Amino acid sequence: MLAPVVSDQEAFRKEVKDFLREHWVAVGSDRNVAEFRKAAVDRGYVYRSIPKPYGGSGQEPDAAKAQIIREEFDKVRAPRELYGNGPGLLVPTLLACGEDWQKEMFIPKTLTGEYRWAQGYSEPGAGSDLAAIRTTAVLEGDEWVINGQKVWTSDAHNAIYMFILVRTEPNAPKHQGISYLLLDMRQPGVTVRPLKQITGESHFNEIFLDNARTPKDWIVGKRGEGWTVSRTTLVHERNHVGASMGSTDLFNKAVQLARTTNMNGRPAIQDPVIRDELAKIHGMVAAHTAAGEHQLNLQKAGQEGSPSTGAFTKLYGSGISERIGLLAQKIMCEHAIAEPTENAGGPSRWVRQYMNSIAAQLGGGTSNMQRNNIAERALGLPRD
Amino acid sequence: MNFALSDDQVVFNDQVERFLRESVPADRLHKAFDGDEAIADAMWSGMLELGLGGLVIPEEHGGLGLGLLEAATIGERIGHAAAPGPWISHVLASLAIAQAGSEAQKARWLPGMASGEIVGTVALMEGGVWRPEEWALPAAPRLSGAKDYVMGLKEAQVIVVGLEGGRLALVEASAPGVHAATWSSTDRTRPVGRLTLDNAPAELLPETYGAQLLNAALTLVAADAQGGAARMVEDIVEYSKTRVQFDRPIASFQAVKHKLADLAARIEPNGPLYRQTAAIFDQEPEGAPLAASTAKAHITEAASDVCRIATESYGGIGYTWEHYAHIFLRRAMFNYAWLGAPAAHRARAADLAGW
Repeated sequence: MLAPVVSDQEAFRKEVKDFLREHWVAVGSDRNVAEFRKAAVDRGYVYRSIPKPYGGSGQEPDAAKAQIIREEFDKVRAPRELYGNGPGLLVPTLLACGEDWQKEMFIPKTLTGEYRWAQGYSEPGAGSDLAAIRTTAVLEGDEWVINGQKVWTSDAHNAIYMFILVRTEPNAPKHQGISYLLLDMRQPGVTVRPLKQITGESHFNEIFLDNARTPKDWIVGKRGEGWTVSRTTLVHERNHVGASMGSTDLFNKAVQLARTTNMNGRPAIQDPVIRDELAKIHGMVAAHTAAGEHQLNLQKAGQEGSPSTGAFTKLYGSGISERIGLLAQKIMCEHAIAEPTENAGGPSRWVRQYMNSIAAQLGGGTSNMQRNNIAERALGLPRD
Repeated sequence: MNFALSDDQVVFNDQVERFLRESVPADRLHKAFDGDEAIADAMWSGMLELGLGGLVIPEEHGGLGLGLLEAATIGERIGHAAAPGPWISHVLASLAIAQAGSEAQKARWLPGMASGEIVGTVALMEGGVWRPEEWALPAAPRLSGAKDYVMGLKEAQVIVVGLEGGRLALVEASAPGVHAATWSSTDRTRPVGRLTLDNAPAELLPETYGAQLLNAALTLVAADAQGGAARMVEDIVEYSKTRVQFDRPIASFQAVKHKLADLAARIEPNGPLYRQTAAIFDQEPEGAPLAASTAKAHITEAASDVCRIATESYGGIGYTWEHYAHIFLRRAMFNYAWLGAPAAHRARAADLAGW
């Protein structure tokens, strides 16, 4: 009898399933995430694009395999790559622009989560116009001496390092006077003050730099090239901010809210206005998901998508989040008076979502900056 | 769901696009729109000569044997040109006969429909009723009643008529008791009208296929709408780069840039959406009703809004008959309204999703 023909993809899926059964499902409550992730790196399942010497698994890009891994890991809720400023933003930048010793020193421990990073970009006077930063760094002997203020630095209260944009060439034109430095935050010249958001939570910080110091060679790229170096990071940020899977999850929760909340004496989901709005958002989510599939198809075929894919996806994600926030407010009626609370269920969760959907229009480049990107890159209209 | 096109299909689509660009430029399109039937007929027969009538007809009957996915991508190009002619209805009629007809019916009609010698159409709506489960014409060997908003009544020799229970029957346009009256309507590139049947001879298709035929129709309408909206965005973007006011191209004003970026963002994911819908129709037909109603509602509404805003963005020139913007606006308004408006499809989608 002939052996059954199994496609390469099916064989790979079985391999991933077997790995997960042995290393995650069977281990049960004794799980150690760090050990599991190390085993997943060894097998080539996570950090696939990062070379082996830096703690990645150094695999050839393969969108089909990456999708199978994502699907199978998610099915059993196994942890994949760490997210956040370090793995998501700094590592790709170092890989593209860093010195070998910088990669060796910072990447491996960032991937395991041992080194956490803050992003020192925005300033009180430099938001959308990021190149207007005024924080300065002056070389004194073997050290940069840094003075100024950063704002909207996420995770700074947990981070031990920061990648920071500073002005090192005060006489150069705006974009050519900036350098990209790395900085140890554990020093007296660095003060972290939490920012309180409209939800009452604090996930961002203000950073005050008062003669903070960092070694001369902790610079990524050359002096005055920081703007170009930082663009690498922003490209990566926009690709992971707006993924359509988040839209789908949030939408499914909104359907659940409509099922379980009474409105005018019946479940809200039976109300024609609510049904129409749900179906409208469902169309937006379906389009966003299809656009993601299309991108995946292009990747598999080795083709480039629109130069504004990141901008489009961010507008869709934040737009859907906003529509869902407004719909939740409508469904909840008087319950929408609840105080927003982190990690709470019920109305508090949705009031928080309503408010957070405002942040979605701002963080990672405002919606109007995405429109500029689309107008200039995808449509070829004149620059501002 | 992989809805990428094969290399062969990409080559074919490019060929179709070139043909449409050359044979349906805006000035000739406008003449056809203004009633020059010779031009309109030449455009339509050119499309048939290219094989666009036989896309979904199996190869053994002289067609190309393609799926709805491939046909819909051609439909997008046709919408992009606003090409005149009942292409959608012809493709739907051939799909119905190929999927639900007897061997004799296929042999009788499909080869001629593939070559373009025979034009077919579908008669689905009854007044405003588009849902197959609400079609009321009884399935019988002789039909009496009326069907509305039927496309291609002037051209069609064979008509696939939707009946009670989602059944379908073939009626020959030349048979006794078959009366066609074309109305004057918004979209002059695809006039519609009323088909009246007075004890007209009919031949039932053996398979019940009305529901699936509607899903195919919705997908093709969405593809046409997407093509037209994309064309409007391309053209208004180019116009805004050349139109000078206050000594600068209007494209340099952020109020204009952001409006155009929003139009682009509105349509960017909708190409993938109709293609995914068509791939679901081809590969997982049980998911087709929800996908098709979702795509029809989302895409035709977006296209209608986009064409309206693009027309407005031209300024005064866009409001003149002389400019071609209204040809696309009217076609978008047709796509919005034909076979159920977006709100009705959202209601259907909500039911199908089990909400």
